[in-house]
Amino acid sequence: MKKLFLTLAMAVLFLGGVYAKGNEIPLIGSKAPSFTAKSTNGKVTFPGDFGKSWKIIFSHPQDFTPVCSSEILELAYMQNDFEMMGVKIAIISTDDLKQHNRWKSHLETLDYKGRGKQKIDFPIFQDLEATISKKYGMLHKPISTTKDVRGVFIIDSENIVRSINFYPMQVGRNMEEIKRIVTALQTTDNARVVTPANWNNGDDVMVPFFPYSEQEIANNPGLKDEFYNIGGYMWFKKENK
Amino acid sequence: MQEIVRIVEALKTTDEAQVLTPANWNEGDDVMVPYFPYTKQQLADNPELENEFYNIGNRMWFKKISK
Repeated sequence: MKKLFLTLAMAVLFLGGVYAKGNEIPLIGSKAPSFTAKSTNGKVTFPGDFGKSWKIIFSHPQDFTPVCSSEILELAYMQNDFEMMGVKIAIISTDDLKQHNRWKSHLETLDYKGRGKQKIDFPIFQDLEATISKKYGMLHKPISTTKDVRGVFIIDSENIVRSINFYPMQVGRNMEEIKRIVTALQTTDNARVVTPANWNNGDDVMVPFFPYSEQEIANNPGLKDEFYNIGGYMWFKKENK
Repeated sequence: MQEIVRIVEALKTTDEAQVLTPANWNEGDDVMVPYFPYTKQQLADNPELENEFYNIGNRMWFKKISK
């Protein structure tokens, strides 16, 4: 009897561990969890079918609800911007595919803020069993055990998670801010620079170290005009020359 | 940091009145209402109500903030 109890206790502990693991948020720097699911664009494997693009995964609570609708419409109007940046979008909720398709068709009939009707090219994934939602920690139990909060995972071309945002149910995401973060990440990846608070595309960037040695400045006095400092620790590189 | 301020303002706004904030909302912008905003009876009693709200499709109802 005692042995049976012990076995049961072990089983509960083990399952608890598995469950907890299945609800973890993949942290910045970790490999983006993969999944295959039905979507409005057919059966798709993430990230495999997205190739070497950057990727953003958006989760939302429920199709046809007002805030979610406004978000998908804003994203649809930004499709070309994201494509130019080499970014592909994936949408996830725990609704079924039939509902996704009905919602997508409905949204495509709307003219939101005078911008005309807009086709939705990105896939909206079915996640009926919440398997994807759990892999990405999108179910925040104090709020709901069945509906995702508004998650944003920015994932780079090597499928590494680079940025994580979670927004509450009542508040629509700022898609311009998401775009800002992607642009900042791509900018800091391309040159060895960092972006200051409130940075926007075209603004001056920062450099992590003193930008030049005495020798370098002797060889190329022009360098001095490319940088400026605020105090001894913040060095900026001019972007608008 | 503007985005952080925006989120706090949105949370306070949605807490105070029973409303929601759409994507890209900023303070002063129109908000959304989670349900159909009035009954026929309410509209009959107060026809002005019709001017306070507008819809995009039949699922997205907005409440005007800048009157």
